[in-house]
Amino acid sequence: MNSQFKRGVIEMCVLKMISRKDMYGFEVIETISKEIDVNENTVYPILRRLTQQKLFETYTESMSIGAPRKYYTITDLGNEKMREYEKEWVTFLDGVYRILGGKMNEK
Amino acid sequence: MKSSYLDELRSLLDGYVMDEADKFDIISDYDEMYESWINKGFDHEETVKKLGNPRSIIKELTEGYKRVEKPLPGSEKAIALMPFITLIAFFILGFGYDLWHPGWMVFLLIPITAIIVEMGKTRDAHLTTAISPFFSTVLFLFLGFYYNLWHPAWVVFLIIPILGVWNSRTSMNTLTLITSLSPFVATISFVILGLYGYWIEGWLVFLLIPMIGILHNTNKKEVIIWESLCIFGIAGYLYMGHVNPGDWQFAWTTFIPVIIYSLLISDWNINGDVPYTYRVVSVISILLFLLFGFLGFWEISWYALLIIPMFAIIKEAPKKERIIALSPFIAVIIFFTIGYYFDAWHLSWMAFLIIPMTAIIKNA
Repeated sequence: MNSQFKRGVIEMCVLKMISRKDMYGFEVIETISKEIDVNENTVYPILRRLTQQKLFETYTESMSIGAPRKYYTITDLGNEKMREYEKEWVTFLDGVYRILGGKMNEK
Repeated sequence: MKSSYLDELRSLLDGYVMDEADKFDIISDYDEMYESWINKGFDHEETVKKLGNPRSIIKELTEGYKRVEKPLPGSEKAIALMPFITLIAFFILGFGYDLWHPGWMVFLLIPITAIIVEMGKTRDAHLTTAISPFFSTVLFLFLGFYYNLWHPAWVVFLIIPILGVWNSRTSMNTLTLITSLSPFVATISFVILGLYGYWIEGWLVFLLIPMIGILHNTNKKEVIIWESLCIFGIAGYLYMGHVNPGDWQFAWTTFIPVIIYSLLISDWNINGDVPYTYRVVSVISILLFLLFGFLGFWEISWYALLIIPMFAIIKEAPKKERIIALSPFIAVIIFFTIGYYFDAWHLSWMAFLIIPMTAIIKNA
């Protein structure tokens, strides 16, 4: 799969997952990698970029063992963006399915 | 263990123009990831394998960031003086020793210096790749003119893609690196075998490419069957050809089993993300190269190989920089055509002036 396209899809998945519950980076990777072939070097830059774009905020939580964890939580702007992505994604998939199903001209 | 990993990552990040806060974010993310894998019971080696070697992941982490520029001492002066130095050297070689040809080659030092200075600022890993067209052209002409070895001297041009692959090695795993280098190893081996008279059997070395490529297939059973059928094909081909020397034209039939099996399992992908058009252009240029070569034009058939990088430039380079990037190739073609066919090497070197002139005009 084209890596740029894959990254876009993963970005949307990350947004959706964190909109459901606050998660730390490793948790995001573990959850997403059950379904899609991804690694840390793909997910962490996405988390950083979305945080920079103010779609996420972060807070740290100290652990009884090991280093404190950085949790990501979605912002209002993030929620808005996610709804936008979902809408675009559904329209896109509708189009793809119509083409794959050989019904390009049917709406 | 963890600190040495993070230190290496930090020193690599320091090579990019990046906010301290961004660097801190990346380092703390990797700190957290490292801890998470260790807590899961992984040892240092396994964790590094999971996270990736800092040198192999740095490109991904720094996408969109510029490299820190550290000009080499005296570099600007070297660029400014080089045209004069080369002109003086050219006249000394010409008037003093009647070496107008190959004395013109000193002018290649102008673009070479500019490339070293420009790419040296960022310690660009592709510095040697950028210089290699000049180096291989000089070596090719030297072998051609002094030893009349136009063929197989064209092989030196393989230095360019080989260095391109080699200098990208940190971003690929060992198998991908070997796969990428295999076409060049096969071509060089083919030429060497051919020079010893093994042209007919020699092409078998090209089977190295799919034999290595199929190792990317995760289905081990398919790999073993494919490799076995391929080895059977090679052994059968050589046996048929050598036992009955007139049977070479039928010997290829021993490859029918591997061809059929390849079609059956043809979902394996050894082309990675290389777009279809690139593959087509590469095949066309290689075919043109061989066609002109075997028609007796080895001395110019290598032009065909220039189609590959030129096509890549046309497709990938920003419109404004396209003609600048194409100018070295255009210059080489003009230079060689005029020099070789009109025996005007004393004039044709001027073609290389196209390179700085194009850059100046476009950047003015």
